[in-house]
Amino acid sequence: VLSFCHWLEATALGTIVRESLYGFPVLVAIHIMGLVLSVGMLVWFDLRLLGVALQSAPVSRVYRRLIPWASAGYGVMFLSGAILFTGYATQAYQNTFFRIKVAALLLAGINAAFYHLVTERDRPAWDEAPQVPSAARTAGALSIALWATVILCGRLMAYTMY
Amino acid sequence: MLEALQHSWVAHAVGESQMLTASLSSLHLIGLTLVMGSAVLSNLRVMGLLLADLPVPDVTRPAWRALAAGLCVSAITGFLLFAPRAEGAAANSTFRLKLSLLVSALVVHAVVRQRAEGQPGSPGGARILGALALLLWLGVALAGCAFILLE
Repeated sequence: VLSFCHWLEATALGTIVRESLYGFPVLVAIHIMGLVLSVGMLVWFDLRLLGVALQSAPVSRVYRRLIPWASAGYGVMFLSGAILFTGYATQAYQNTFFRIKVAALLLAGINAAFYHLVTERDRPAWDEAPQVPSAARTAGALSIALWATVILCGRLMAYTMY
Repeated sequence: MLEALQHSWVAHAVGESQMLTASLSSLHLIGLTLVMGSAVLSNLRVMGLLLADLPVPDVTRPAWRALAAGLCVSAITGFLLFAPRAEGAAANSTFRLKLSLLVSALVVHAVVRQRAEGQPGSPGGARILGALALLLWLGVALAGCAFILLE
């Protein structure tokens, strides 16, 4: 993995990220804008699952309406994050907070997949209910906790890397 | 007053601990995420671009509560981060721009809510003001990024 990180840093893209005057701050700003749109929208679906907001709309409708906006944010966030990684791959890979951040990202993905593949199977029975079953509420709470961890570690790695 | 703040024990505690500064900065960003998510949700609903089949107050009221909660987190952590460099930050034009945009965004957001929640549907004026509120909130976030990254 380390040799791959070294190779990434030596690419033209990695060099530009590291050496250009405004490349890094502009990419970080884009990364944060992607973050606030993606997680900022997703949290409203999580709050619907928790039964504390938007209860007058079915769960499936809240999901369908929010997810295009959140997906646009995720696209921006992951792309800018990947480009930022090319500039500082080795330092990031060796940073504990980066590793926790990636682990939290993976767990957030697993949590979402479990919700869609398992928990959602009997959704027609509770789609319109203001309060959904505990498995769905747990998915919402886990999502919020994991994304807060991602943000927390994202900032902490910025302070401990450079 | 700024000098007194900068030499207070709070400012010294934050200024001397990188982990405390990093943790406060993390919470500041979590607060911002909640503020921005709520501002986007609320103003897109007023503009008729999101959850248009729900009554406006069903979206804008919970969004306001979440926005206020996020703003409290960001304001408290922001004040603590401001303390160790109060004099420098207060003189920084990007920081001043960020605070001006924040006040403008809050005022326009409140006007949008008042106009949109009081009438059925989304009146045209409220839609335009909703777009303005969204731009102002975006400006707050971008000015915050610029202040941190370019100073």
